[in-house]
Amino acid sequence: MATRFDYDDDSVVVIIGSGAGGGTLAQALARKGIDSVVLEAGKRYQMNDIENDEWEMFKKISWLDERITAGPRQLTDTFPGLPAWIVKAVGGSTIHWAGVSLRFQPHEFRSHSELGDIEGANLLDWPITYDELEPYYVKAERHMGVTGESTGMPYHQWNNNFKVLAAGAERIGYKQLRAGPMAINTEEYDERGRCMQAGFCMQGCRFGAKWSTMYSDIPRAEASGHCEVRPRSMALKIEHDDKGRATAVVYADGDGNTHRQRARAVCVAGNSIESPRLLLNSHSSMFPDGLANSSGQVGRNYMTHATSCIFGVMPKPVHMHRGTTFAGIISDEARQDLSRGFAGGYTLEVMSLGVPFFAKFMDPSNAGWGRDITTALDKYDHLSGVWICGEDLPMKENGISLHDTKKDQHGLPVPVVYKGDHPNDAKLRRHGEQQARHCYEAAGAERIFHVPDFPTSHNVGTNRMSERPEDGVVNKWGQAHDIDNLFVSDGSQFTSSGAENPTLTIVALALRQADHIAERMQRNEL
Amino acid sequence: MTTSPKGMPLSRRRFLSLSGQSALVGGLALSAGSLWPRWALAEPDLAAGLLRMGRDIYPHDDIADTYYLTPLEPLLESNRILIADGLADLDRRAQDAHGRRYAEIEQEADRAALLRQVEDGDFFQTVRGTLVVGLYDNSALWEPYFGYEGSSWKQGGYLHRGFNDLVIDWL
Repeated sequence: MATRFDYDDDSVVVIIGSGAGGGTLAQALARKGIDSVVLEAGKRYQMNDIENDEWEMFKKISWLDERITAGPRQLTDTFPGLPAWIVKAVGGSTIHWAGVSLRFQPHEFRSHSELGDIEGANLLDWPITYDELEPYYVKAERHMGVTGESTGMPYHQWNNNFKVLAAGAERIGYKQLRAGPMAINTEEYDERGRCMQAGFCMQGCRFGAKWSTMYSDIPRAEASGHCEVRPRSMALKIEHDDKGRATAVVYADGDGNTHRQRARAVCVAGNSIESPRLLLNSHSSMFPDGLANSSGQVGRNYMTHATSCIFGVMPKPVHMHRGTTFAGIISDEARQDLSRGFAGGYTLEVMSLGVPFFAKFMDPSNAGWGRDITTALDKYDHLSGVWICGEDLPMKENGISLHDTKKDQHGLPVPVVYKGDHPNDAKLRRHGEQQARHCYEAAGAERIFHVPDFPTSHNVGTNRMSERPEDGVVNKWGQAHDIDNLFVSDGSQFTSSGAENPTLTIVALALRQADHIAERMQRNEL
Repeated sequence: MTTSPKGMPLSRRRFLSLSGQSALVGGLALSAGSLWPRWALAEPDLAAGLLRMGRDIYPHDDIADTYYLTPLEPLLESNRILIADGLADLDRRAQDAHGRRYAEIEQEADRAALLRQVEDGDFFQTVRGTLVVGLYDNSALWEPYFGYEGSSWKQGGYLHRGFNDLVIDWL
């Protein structure tokens, strides 16, 4: 019998979102006997809903509510209504993520101390250090089943796609080539089976070999009796009392009925667009600029990584679609090295797309048609691809705001997602593209081409952590500076974007936040 | 063209393909038209224009007409005026530049140049946006034409079916 909590039960923690942040937090709290209600905007899917089909899964699980892409970037033209490629379902974007589980590097927690002021950037140190987070990285790696030292699981064997990129990378002198760490089982781990190298990681893992809260954390939290997940429940507003403490979350269920769930504490984990949007939409007479926004930083400092894709046509068939989607990592350029002409670093990650998405993404500009396109598609099985995951700098202009007039199906203002490059981002991206081209040239590619940005899956920074309340939205525990029982539990806490995929760090922060919440509850502070 | 051994029967069919030496000039030679969808036979002008356009946007010489026509058909219901007006506009441009209808221009480069003039418009992008999904999301074409094997979980993935079988012997 599934646990049900009463709407007026104000002893529960209300968690908004069930992905890497919210799903992890719900399960971590449940293990401590702390009750939670998870409000998830999306539906619940079963394993047999997961198909190896790019468009079917895109239509099924993507967050497709109206959003507006804005800013001086190609995505504004090519995907005007889809700035982000993230998931609306129980499990959130952990259904879609590709499993790359890199830790941030120590220097990435102290950007401002390392780099000083950079014109146009809103640099800030995280209020935590790598050393403080390290134990939670280990816990997160064990929790998720990350190949490598923490679990003892071996890395994956190199698939064809990575073999090609690696052959070129080694010839240009790169040394840090690995098929991990990945939160994709190479052997049975934590009651989940091993990877079958099926491909389609970003469409959801049919075998459950890739960690996802959809089938790991959420079912366990529910089975504990300490967690109720309410799918198709879109949070509309966080309410507070006259002391300024959060008291309840108003949400719309799947039939459009509105409910009010009372709360002991509220944890916002709706990803970096919806989380600040909810805080902004929760404005009141006491908080006219939105909840937790005395700093004015809610919704700002939106980061997506400076990214790019390079593909090479190889002399023989590669079959890049076989095996994990992001199968290998090159970390030689991830370091901080200002002699390259830019701050921050980037990771090169071998990647694949199926024919449907490759055709869609290869050149989505109006001019992206004709023989230039189809001669590459004719060589689809000869392709190898690499994605550049680079640190982008926080800028106060980049962010999430509410549209003046357009409303969504719930009557809430539609989010406008504005992003442009800092000059440093552009330099880093050009360097990455050039190095990726060198790799494929060295690997003997017959043709090399660039694939522009597609809607972003790495969205971070819009409720950032800061030491001082005037610089950011939350403190080192993810607790709002302004409201002591309101937390942010997703990637919107990030103070910098790093050169690494965000999920592992989101999970580490959520595990750490769960410990903090439990301690404060024990001290009767929450 | 891929090297897939299974590719031959399907991809070699080029019935009524309008690529290469055009079969269109002098009116539509529809004797072999049974391989066009029925709607296309009923509306040969619109069908021929759309087909030519689809083949110019995503030219794959070995893919048969029906794979272009079938996904484009719904546009004649959903966007009929846009399509009819768009094709008429193309024909006017073609008459001005080449003294014949768009679909009857022999050189692909000449036709592509006309399409470049209208590529920023709704008409062109509607046809293209429909085709980029309708053509490339057709699993019947994946393995025979592109060497893409599609869904793999039912076969147990590629763990024992070649995910790491590549030998790099060209360097």
